[in-house]
Amino acid sequence: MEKKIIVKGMHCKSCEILIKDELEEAGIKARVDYKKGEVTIENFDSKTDLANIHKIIEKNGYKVMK
Amino acid sequence: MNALKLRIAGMHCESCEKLLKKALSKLGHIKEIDLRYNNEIATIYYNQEINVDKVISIIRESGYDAMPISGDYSINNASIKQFLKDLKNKNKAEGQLIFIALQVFAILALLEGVAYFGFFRNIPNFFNTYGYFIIFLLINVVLMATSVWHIKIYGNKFTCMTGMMIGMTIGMLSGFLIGIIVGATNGMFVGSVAGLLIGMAVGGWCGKCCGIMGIMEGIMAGLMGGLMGAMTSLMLLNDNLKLIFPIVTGASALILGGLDYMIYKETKKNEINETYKYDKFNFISFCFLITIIVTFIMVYGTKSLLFR
Repeated sequence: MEKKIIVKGMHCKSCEILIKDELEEAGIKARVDYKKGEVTIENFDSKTDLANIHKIIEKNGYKVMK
Repeated sequence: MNALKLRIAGMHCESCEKLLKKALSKLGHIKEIDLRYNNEIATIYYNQEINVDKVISIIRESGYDAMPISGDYSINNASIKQFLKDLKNKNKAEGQLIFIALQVFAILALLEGVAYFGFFRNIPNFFNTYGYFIIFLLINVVLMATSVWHIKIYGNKFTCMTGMMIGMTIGMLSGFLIGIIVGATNGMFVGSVAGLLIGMAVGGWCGKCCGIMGIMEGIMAGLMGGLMGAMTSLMLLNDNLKLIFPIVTGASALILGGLDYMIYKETKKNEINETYKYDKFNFISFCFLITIIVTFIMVYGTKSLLFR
């Protein structure tokens, strides 16, 4: 299952790469689209730690819309 | 602690900054990275040796461009001193070149002396009309040829920017120096044509070291230099025409010295290679040919009304 997260504050390709990289380091596969302001988590299931994902994104200076 | 300063191009937001910092920190021995997206200049502090090429390739792989600031392009006292020292050292390419240039100048002066006593002695008022300018022709040709051969020793190993600089400087100065001399004896038309032909040929030939861009730059500068040289002479005809020659030659020598220093810094390989030794004969014949042709044009070429 996929899970979409709305993220505010992305404005360029580098932001996409940054978020994708950071999530990948935590073992989470994701697609990022800065134009839509969306982070799509692939393979999302009940075991995935959503709070951790939010933490990673916000640590880099973006805002997650809950 | 050592510091490496880089000029980084292409960063435009905070994410770029973070991405680049992350990529760079994977390299070992790095203590601190001072990098801001709104500042082109970044400083990397490190403990032990780091490989500058590796740092640059990491930055390029991340999608940005980087160039070391200290190093090839800066001017410093130590490298100027080393350059001047190498000019006197006959085992270095630069020293060898100066040595050959002095020899060629002596040979050419001798030949012009022979030509004077052989043919020119009967021309009335020879020294005032031609002789003075021929002396400067010799100096200028040897001066130009020294720089040209300095470039040719190193062949095609220049970056595009340097190549354009070379094409422009050599093209403009060679055109100008020939143009001003021929203009002073034959007038605007012959002076311009001689100046622009030689300027375009030499400029294009030297600019070749960085492809079509350098060639175009050289040719264009040669055209401008040639026209400008003849024009300067004509405008100074009723003024201190003779006095401008040592001044122009001095200024050109200064510029060519700077160009040689730039080439010296850019290449840094000062061992003489074999192709260079082979070129010694070409150096002499190049100077000889240009001097003879220009002298002939000056003395026997057509003149504008002003000089008849």
